[in-house]
Amino acid sequence: MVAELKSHVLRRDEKGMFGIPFKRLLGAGIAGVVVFMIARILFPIGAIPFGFFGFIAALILSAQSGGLSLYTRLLYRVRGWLIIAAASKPDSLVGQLAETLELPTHLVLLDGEQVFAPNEKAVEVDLSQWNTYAAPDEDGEGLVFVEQL
Amino acid sequence: MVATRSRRKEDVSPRTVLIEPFDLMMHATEDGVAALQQRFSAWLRTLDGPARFLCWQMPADLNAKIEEVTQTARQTDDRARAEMCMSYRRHYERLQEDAEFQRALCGMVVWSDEAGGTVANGIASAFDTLAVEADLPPLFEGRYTLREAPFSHLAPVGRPGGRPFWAILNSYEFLPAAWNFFRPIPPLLRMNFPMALCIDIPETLDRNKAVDAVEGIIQAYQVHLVSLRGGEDSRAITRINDCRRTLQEINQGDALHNVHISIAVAANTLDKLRSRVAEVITEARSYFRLRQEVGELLSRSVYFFSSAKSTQVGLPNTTHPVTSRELALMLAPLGYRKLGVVDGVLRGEAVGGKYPVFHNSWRDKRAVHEVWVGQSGFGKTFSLNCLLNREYAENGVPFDMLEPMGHGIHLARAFGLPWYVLSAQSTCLNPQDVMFPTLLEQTSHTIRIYETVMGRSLSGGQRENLERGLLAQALEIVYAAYRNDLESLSPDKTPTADFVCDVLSGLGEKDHIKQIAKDLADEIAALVTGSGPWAKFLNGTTTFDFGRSGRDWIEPRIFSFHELESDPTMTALAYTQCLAAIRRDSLRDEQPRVIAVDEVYRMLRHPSLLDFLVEAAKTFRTRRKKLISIDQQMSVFMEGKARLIFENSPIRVIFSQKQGMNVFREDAAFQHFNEQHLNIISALPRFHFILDVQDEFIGYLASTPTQDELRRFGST
Repeated sequence: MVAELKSHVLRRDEKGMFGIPFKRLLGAGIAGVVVFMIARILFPIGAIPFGFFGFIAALILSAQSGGLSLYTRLLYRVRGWLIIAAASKPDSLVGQLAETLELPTHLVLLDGEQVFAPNEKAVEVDLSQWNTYAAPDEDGEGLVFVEQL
Repeated sequence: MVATRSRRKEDVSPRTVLIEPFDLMMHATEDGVAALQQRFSAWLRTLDGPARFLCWQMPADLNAKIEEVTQTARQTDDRARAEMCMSYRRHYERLQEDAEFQRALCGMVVWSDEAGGTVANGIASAFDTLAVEADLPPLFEGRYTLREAPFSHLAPVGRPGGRPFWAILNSYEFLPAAWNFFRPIPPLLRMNFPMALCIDIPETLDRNKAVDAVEGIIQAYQVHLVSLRGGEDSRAITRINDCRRTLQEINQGDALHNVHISIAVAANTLDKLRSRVAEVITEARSYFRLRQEVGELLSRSVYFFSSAKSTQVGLPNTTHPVTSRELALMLAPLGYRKLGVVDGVLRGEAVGGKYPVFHNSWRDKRAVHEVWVGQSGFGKTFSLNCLLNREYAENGVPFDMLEPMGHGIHLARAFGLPWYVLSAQSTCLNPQDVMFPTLLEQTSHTIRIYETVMGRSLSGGQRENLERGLLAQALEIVYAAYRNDLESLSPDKTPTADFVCDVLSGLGEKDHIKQIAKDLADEIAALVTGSGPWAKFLNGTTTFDFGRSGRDWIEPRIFSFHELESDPTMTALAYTQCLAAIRRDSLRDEQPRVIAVDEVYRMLRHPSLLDFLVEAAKTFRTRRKKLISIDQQMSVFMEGKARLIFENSPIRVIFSQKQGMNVFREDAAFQHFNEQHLNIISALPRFHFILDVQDEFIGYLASTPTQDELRRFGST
């Protein structure tokens, strides 16, 4: 029995230009416009090159490799470098920076016993210590729990 | 944003279930794999929360088994047994040298409100294999640290102690390709190195929402295609077609799951790890793309092999939507059984898999009976001899072998045991020998033997009932002196058949009763006394010592009936008396013992003896005596009361059954066999068999004798 695996049916990936998907071009364009507008506030003259470079930078940073954008990969690379450095020297400047950024430094050292710890099982009740009486009022106590001796 | 079917309850606990892989070769027909896919996808459709399928593949060896037989050889005082153990040790060592064994274990994590046992039962019933709620095995033991040089990997902290380096690969893109149960996952598992595979299903989309989402994508693409001027977007057209196919499958009942694959690869050196990672990426490339994780993402990916929820793992989302029928094919590792536990004795070598299969049938308090069927010359006797040898050598389980062909001599020689040959000329088996502790049971057993001799039943009519009563009365008189302690009656003092006939002929108060008693006595006397056909065989003191003679432990015994071959009734009687003696001894202890009865049909065709066999099978079971009933055709065990023997035997060993396939096709007891099973059974070559352990295992095995076994039993 064979199944033809289908393309990603929950994601849009319309054709753009120069082999760049439309979605990425659109995103980079918006980023370029935002950079241009901010630059225009700071530099009323000459903001267009900023916008253009913003567009190009967004285009480059959103390039996909291994299913992740360049931006994501860079971010994780920096985070990785920071957590390893912080784990080796916790009191250093890098260590303090990692702590400030709340980076997961515990991921540098993995303890098999903790990572693969079985789930907490439901508390088992030992019914052997139940004491029952024929009549509720027998011995003046009825049905009671008996402390384990 | 697509909403999911899951209730997003963070407090739903993960239920971890271990699943025993089965042999896909047993389903390898077009219909077989289609049925398998349908079964898997039917279960996947019911998912209403996250789930995760895991498969661990680790190098395995037979060291535990080798150590076990070595210990047994050291501890036993029996030199012959020690030598056998050492020969098994050599055999296991040779097997290990020639192969690279792996152990595969599959597991499923399901986040569900249902109890773990319920989830396990659901999986067991849907996948038709053993599934138990249990903790998942760890990917690694001890502490590991993240290292970035020379490439990102996990290295053991402190003394490695044989602990490998690990790298993890995550899928990020699935290519349009044809998947089946044989590609692309199984080739990855065939790589002979330790690895673990995770099929993570972080969400299963609600049907209506999935339809809305997919329809939304279709609409968007249609708008996009309309707006294209002078260009063509083939990917958009393909995507629309894929969406339509997905909708069709969802409307046929499939669910839409988001899936991602993680593969953890291990190696003892970094160079080897690098090359293995490259090998895995290349192997999967035409089906799905894998990314080798680095830094923080590598550490996070480790949690995919635990019971941590995908949302807690916190990896960037690179899942791919697949329908249930597609996802079912990703569970292909379930169909690749590798070396299992080495507990128990060797039952054979898996055909195709080339790994030894062990089975311990002494795990339960009660013995597990077996039924063996197969045409003559296909290796039943040889395989049985090997099994008895292994049970005796490795577990110290003695046996009683009842066989009609005279092959017992090989076993007797192998063990240096006396060979008990029952002969029409020199053997005498007294029907009055005490086999049961109470008078009622003993008289009914003896009456059964006389019924078999006479070839008629002493019940069903007025005269027959009277005859039965008179014979019982005669026997009560015969046993009267030992009424209170029947078992103290030794064989040498047991009254003989002529005495019973004398007593019987004098019974009755009224004339017509006297006449009936006299006629019955004459009838029996004509057969078993004087010059009657069974006089030598039945009228006298038993010439065999069936008892334990004061011993705590009875050594293996081999009874051959080939010298009774000419008379089937005599053979059946001999079988009955032997089994009755064994049964009597069985009641006294719970020491495991194997009782193998070849050519069972000889007993089955005598109704009164069949009742005895059925009753004995039940008694043996409770006293840890394994009964192995052997015959040529399975149909023998499926008719009438003989079926009770079959139903009390959860292990079925099936050799070639070319001539009797109808029973496997028609009988409800074999509904669990698919077309491929039946094809295998009908074409089993010599020394190949199907081992069917009820609710546990169906395997296609080949007899793999050791050199020592070949030397001993080769001529059988």
